[in-house]
Amino acid sequence: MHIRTALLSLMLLVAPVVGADEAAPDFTLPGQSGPVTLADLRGKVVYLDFWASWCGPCRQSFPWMNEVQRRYGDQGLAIVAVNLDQEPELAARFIDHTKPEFTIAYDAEGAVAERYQVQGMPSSYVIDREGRLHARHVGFRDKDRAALERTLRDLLNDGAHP
Amino acid sequence: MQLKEKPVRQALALATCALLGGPAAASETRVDGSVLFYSEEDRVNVVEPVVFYTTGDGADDVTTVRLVYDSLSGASPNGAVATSTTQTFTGASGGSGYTTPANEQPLRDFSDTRVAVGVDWDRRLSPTLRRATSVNFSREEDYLSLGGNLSFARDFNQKLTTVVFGAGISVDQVQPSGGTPPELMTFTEAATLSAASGDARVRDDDDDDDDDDDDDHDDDDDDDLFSGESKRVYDVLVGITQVLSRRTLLQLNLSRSQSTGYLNDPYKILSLVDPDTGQTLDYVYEKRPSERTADVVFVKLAHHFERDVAHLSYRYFTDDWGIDSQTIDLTYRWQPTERLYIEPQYRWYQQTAADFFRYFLVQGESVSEASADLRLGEMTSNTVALKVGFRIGESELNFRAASMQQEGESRPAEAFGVLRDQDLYPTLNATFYTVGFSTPW
Amino acid sequence: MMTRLALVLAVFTSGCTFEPVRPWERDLLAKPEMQLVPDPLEHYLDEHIDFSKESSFGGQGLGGGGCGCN
Repeated sequence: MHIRTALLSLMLLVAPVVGADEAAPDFTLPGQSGPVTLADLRGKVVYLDFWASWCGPCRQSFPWMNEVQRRYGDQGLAIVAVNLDQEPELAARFIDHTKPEFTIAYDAEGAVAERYQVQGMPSSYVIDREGRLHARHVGFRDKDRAALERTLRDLLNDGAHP
Repeated sequence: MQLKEKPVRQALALATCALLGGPAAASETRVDGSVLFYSEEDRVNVVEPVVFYTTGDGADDVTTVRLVYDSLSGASPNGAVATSTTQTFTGASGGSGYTTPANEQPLRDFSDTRVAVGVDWDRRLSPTLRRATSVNFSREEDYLSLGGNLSFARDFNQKLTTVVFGAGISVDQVQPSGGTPPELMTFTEAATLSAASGDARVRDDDDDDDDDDDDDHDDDDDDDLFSGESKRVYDVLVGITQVLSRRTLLQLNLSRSQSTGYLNDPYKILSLVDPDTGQTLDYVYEKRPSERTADVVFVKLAHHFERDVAHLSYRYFTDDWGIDSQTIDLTYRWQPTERLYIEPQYRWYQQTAADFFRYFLVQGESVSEASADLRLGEMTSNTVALKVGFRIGESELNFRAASMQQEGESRPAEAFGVLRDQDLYPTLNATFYTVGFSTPW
Repeated sequence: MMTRLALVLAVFTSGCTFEPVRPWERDLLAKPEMQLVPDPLEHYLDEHIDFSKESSFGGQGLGGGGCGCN
């Protein structure tokens, strides 16, 4: 257990620091139907959300993410919600209850969360069409919705003019 | 009858994560209710329903309203010691009194109802700072309490460490039925005084909670809500909580409280005994200091095993009345299925006596303060409880049964003469049950 | 008593936790039964009984812990 945390900590030192306008770290994680790779989504605006079933604000964010996915999906928005539950049945129940219409990936070990330096739950990262990290956000509150949506709209519109 | 209300500070953690842990809850409003049935063998009986109504957004902005209704009745020791003869405690102006048979601890009947209301406002001020404000109000027949507290919780280390600072104040008003008794005066002296002045202001010990007795009281103060005696309590608390691992949490609190004003129990007396035989000659109204400073160190460890959770806490209390106490509390929540939990609990409590605690007073001795309230004496208390809870959807139903036993020194060294044959600290046995629920609203 | 207090303080002043706990590893700590006061109603009633029958009071107050939620 301690060796694993030590190795992860070492990885953190070696891995690129995740700041704004840096390349978003690529990853491949198991999904609901096959693996999910971030690089495959190049050309789309990616909203990457780290969540867990036990996190209250996460419960509020799912209906919103469904709404946003529906609204901007054909403009090139891809939502990837990475689950960090330590107990898979809890994640499954949460998914049954919230019926997400976006991609779910599983990161129970937390390796990808570690690379993205997740500070709190939930944490979301907005990645532009070139695969660069545009913004990060910790938490999810009612008042955050408008601002987040605006950020997504701006990035989607940028891409519309090649 | 004073049943003092001590404002209970709500855990700020309640504001953030207590609503989680199960299937997604859509509403952030909850109602929690419970009824306590408390019964002491041959003594006090209490029925106490409590309701907490929580509203807000469940995380950053949570408001809780607390309502308590308390109905007490029964008999309570008046402080006099059991003796070899029958004892009669007569009322003022020839009103009804009560008699205690020989070799029995004198008990005084009483009944009282109390209503308490409180509101807590928990607000998140920034990602790492929360503030909690509370106001509390409590009213019973002879007691009024108004208090408030303010605290801040600051997170560090990605919320693994939290530092809390809080302060509170409480202003209480005591209006003893029959008026405030003269401290350390004997019944004989008091009777002489009232006979001489024709004033029923000085109260003899009797059962005077009935409204009928009001005509016997010439004390106009009885009708004035804000007369009587007052007491103020200030307290401050500093605490730190540390996440030790994914499964373990540690809390350490240091607090100090300062009480000033009328700290006596106006219904308690002491027996004044003959220095040779130990026979009861008279009774004396108690007197406690008018200041009390107390310090508390509290440590708690919470640990989550594979499925079960254990809480272990230790509290050390010390004050300038000479009372030192220790409390150990161990609760184990066994979770055999996801919807059912069984939670045994054991609590051990031990305190030393207050400096001015006396089982009785001897005629001729002079004291500056004295009280025979057994709650101030050297004593050990053991409580065993079992709680069972069922989760139904997002609601919970729970039942708890507990047994408490309080023991002190029944045959203290200072007992002499006829007092040697008496049990000066009868063991107190109490059982209590609660039926409770918690549900989204 | 002082040695006990010193031991507890040593744990806190050491600055680091025994195992660094990541925000997404706060699942167990988020549960109601892991809060410092798991059942505020029960706590209120118990405190009331203890306060009425004993000479000590207070100590518990407020706390942190819980999940890494924001």
